[in-house]
Amino acid sequence: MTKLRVRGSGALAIFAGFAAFAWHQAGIGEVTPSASAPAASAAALSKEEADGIIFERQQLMLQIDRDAKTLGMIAAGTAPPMKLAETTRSIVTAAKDSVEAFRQVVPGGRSKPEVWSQHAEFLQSMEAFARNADAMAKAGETGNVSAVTGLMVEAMPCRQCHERYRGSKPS
Amino acid sequence: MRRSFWIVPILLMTAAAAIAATPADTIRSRIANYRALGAAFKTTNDTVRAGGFRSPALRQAAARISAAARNQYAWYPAGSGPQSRVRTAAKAEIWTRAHEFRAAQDAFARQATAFERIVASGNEAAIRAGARQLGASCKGCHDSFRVADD
Repeated sequence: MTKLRVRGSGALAIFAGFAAFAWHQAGIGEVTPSASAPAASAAALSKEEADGIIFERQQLMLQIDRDAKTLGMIAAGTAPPMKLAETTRSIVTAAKDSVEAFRQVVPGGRSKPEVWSQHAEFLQSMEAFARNADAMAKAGETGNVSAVTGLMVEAMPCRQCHERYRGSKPS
Repeated sequence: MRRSFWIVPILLMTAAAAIAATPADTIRSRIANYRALGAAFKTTNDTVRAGGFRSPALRQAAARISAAARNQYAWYPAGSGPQSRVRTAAKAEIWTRAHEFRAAQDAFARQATAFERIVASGNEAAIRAGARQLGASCKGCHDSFRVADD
């Protein structure tokens, strides 16, 4: 009887250990936004809806590009700093909207396959972009060009991201 | 002299000015029109994301888009393409595949008119879907007839 109790307790302990291990691996309670299920996938959307999402992503990126150019001119002193706050606000708004736009799994546009095959990692990059752009926007609210310039490199990792995740321009 | 005397000369001068518009003028005007259209589309998306389905801003944006869709047919006179040597995102295909381009313009005009009606209804789901469809019609034309940005 004692041997049965020991074996039973041992089995129970092993099972409990396995359950705890599986629970940890599932990451329950550690869900980050990028690990949550995508809002929609291409399979559930019509081509028209998918094209609409792709176009929206493209427009957001174009807006960021325009704002980045404006910000560059302000930082270089070739444009007056009056639009500093407005421009940095626009960048962070577009960055946050881009995160949501790319959360939906809709291949197309110039997005490389890696955007979707490494979706969680890609979204983490986008979320970091949005966080850093937010810090830059807060600096922009103060009107301090130097403070914004100091944050620009980290807040605008456009080239690194594009090299990894954006395909070449269509001919 | 009577005021009515001046009507004909003014009309002739206006016509002459229109005829005399250079490709650069036409392209500059076209770019300005598309930028305004892009701003209206941005307002649409921003307002929809913010949940302002019954907001005046959304109705105004939809009206601007619809007006642009009606006016766009006059934005592409012959000679205002790449051959003008003036910087333009308009591809030569607009003129070499004119029937297809016209079909794309018609699709956009239909979608824009429908979207204005949808916005007037205030129906949230229809507005969300309509905004996507509008974007899709823009993309369809851009993919074939517009030089990609950067």
